[in-house]
Amino acid sequence: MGTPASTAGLQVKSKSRRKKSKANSFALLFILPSLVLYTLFVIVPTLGSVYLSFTSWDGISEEVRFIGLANFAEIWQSPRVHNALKNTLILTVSLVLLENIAAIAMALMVDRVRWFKNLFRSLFYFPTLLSGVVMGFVWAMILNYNFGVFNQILNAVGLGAWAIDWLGNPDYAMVSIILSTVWKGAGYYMIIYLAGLQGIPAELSEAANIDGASGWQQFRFITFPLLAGSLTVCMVLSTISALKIFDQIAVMTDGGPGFATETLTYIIYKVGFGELRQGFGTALALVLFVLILIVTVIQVQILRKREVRY
Amino acid sequence: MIKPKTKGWFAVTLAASLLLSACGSSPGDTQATSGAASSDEGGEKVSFTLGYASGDPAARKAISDTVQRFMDENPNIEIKDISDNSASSYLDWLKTKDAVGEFPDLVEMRDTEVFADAGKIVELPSDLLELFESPPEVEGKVWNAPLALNVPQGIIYSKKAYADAGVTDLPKTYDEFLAVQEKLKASGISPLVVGGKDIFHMGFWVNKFLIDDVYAQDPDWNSKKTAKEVAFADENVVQAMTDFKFLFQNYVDKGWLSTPDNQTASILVSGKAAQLFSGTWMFSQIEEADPNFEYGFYAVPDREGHVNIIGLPSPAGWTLSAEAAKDPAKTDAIKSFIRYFFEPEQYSLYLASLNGIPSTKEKVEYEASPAMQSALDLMNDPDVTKSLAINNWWGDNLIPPQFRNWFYKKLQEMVVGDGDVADYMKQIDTEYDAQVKANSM
Amino acid sequence: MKESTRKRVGEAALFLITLLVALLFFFPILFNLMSAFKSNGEIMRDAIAFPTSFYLENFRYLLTETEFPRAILNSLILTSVSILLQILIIPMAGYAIERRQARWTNFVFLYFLAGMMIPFQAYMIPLFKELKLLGLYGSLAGPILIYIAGAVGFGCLLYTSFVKGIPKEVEEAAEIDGCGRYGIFWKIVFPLLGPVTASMVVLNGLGIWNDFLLPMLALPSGEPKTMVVEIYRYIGEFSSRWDMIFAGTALSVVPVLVVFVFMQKYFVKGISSGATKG
Repeated sequence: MGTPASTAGLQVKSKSRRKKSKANSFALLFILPSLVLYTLFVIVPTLGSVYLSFTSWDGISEEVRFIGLANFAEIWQSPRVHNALKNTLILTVSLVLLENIAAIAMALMVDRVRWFKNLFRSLFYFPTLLSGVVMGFVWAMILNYNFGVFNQILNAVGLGAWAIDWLGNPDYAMVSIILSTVWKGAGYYMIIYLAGLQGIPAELSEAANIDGASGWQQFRFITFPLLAGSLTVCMVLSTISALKIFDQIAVMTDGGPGFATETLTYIIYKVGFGELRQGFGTALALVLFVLILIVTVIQVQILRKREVRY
Repeated sequence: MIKPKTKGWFAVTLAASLLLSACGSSPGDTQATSGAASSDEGGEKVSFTLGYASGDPAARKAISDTVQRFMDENPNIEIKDISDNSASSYLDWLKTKDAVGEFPDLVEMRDTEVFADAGKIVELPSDLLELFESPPEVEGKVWNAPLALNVPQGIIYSKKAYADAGVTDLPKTYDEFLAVQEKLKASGISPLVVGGKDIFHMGFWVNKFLIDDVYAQDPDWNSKKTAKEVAFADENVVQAMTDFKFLFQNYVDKGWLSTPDNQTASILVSGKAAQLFSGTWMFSQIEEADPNFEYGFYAVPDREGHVNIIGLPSPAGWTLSAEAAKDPAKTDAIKSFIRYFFEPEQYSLYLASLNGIPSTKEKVEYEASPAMQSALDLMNDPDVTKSLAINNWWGDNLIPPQFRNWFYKKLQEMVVGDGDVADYMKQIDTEYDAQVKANSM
Repeated sequence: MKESTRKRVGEAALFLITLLVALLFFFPILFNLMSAFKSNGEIMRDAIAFPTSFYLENFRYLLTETEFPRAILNSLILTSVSILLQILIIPMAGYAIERRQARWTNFVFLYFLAGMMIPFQAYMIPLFKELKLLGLYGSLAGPILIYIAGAVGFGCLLYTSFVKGIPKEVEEAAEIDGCGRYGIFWKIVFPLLGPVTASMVVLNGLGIWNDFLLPMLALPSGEPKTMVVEIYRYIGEFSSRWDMIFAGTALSVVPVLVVFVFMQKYFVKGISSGATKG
């Protein structure tokens, strides 16, 4: 660098370096507030979780004892965690399937229906605007055994024998949570599918019509494959949100009856705050994080491959 | 709060009638007023936070009224009531408060040892000890100013429903009790309402059976369980839980898992159900829901006809947090509040609102309903065995703090899933042992 | 002719089915709004019936006898301040990352994106210790900062992809005219980012308005927190006073409804643009 032959080059370089460092300092200035807040309130506590997950900390005492992998060993063995994991998976698979089927059906309806298109779209979409707490409460009231509308309707139409405690019965509590969450969530994905549908050129279905394809055939061989991009997005988004479900369960069943609707997020909250086993709670939280990561990566891989094939 | 409709006017000198020692000194009283007065003069404004179990609306109102009156009389002390009723159990709530750093300065403590071991609370200031008759000690230390003594739980029944079903005599044995249930069911009414959405309410029944078959014989059962000398899978516990399951599957109102505790009174008075199993604090809720409702109270006997009830003292009550104890001004304010709370004029209102039994040395009087009188008779009857709920024992008999809720939920699962009792008890043993182990880590 | 009647019938059938599904979808909301205008006795006796009169007692009670108005105010402050600060902070970062292509900005971008994968539960426990440590616990400032931090990943993703579509020449011209970097960004670039900003405002705003766990845990007890938390508290406290809770939920839905009606387009845009980029 210091050789005389390169003096001219040095000048150019230092000028561009000055420009570069100016650009860097502007960029840093612009990025800094986000960087600081994000690091402070997302990354630091996440690293804190990683540390705590190796301890038996109860969240209150001064002493933090390092216990190695004991929390993870307990997670591996605990029937309660297994049950929560099973519930989470049942919930996730059912929600992802039902929400996407419902969303595609609704998108098709809104796309094809001749009158009041926008009104229908708004009606379908509206439940997604509600908070999980409000929606959970409304559904809990509808499904209440003694005073709920649903049982009242069943009684009124002579099906009183079918009236059961929808949220107090272990078989139906999960179904009730799933269906009410589909009601709340499907509209969001409908919007995405609708955008996908509107991107399909009209000539394609016209051509299929002329070829005499039935409605189902059209959907199966033309519309659905062309929705592949939307499908990837919706599957991933609905999976992540299903794995994180919390509010509805807190309001509708409190994880019960027994442990019938206890999910991973719920157990993390219960164990970490209600039972003061924060070491164990954070270990569980990391397991959830890794689970979300793995499921998302696998899904994106598989679904992207499908997109390419078509 | 006190409904004047009560038929018999019983002046209950409870403390005196219940407890043997009668060293009737009342220096506590004079000091209480002077304590309150002296804090009036200090110019500095003191503030402290207050947390208590607020599940029972009448008790909640009584406490918040007392707080309000105290603040009116002591304008330089501000009490910030942070209680709320959103968590599924009081212990969960308290721990959540603790986890986020909001442990109350003055707290109604029910799990004294757990928080004492964690260093969160301090012993009751010694000058307050004289207020109470015999505050329970944990390893020789008194931590709490007991809000009231433990009261018996039993059946609160609708007299009309019993008459309609042709029940004339109250049951003398558990089998007679079951016969009554059968009669009620046959008369077309739902025999029992249970507020199972609140897990503690279902616990009333669990403990009734545990006391009959386990604690009445062996008050040290918990410590033996911790040492693995006895097990939930033992015959007596299996019997208790079999009875529990049978009762719940056959005679409990179908919607019990979505019924919260504070809806049970209105379901009882509405005639949808004939009985409710709870403590004496429920009386005021029932009278609130329907002042003309006729009800009675009795303890459910066991198979041999013995009566075993909750009624031993346990370490619970107002407790100072370690944090607050570091601040002398706060400590003084809290002490004057405690004295104020237990002044007979104040304390009687609180006791009346939940039909409680006073813990103070000083006599406290309020009018008791006939149902309350039968509860007091139980307490005074030497033939009635007094015991405690599973989570109220202490010392070596303390169960792992997170066990109770898990245990109750497991039992819910057993009842609704029609699980095999012996099999469930084995699972419960495993979890208990695992929690003991996890806590020792 | 025959073909067209068949088509007509098909259209009518589709319309009827759609209408039916839509009614089904709207029923719970209708039920909620209906119940808010009924007394507790009416709700318990006959949940299906329409309100018999225009009964406003529930709202009057909630708004005058309880601390619900404070909770409404808290929700409004929390939502608007968080959103405002998000708009002040995040677009700048997205812009800088996109315009200053370098190894380190690229790294920062990935670092931000990683956060999108971390669920709140994974870090909430240490977060509360941290808030306490920083003295932020118990005020609205804590949740506000956390909301901003939580929005960085998704926000940068949206903004970088949008900035890409803005020709650099505009900025260069402005630079020659003597505009500073801030001036260029706020006067020239930011207005062009309007649609993304609007989408971020409605979607994040909705998320904050409806959030439950964070305000429940991070705001001080003993005083009203946010509407949603207050409703949750009422469910435990007034479990036999459904009228009050219905009135509360109705009140929390109304602002959302209003915003939705006026800004519908941005909801749709936000979702679909987030979707195609995500």
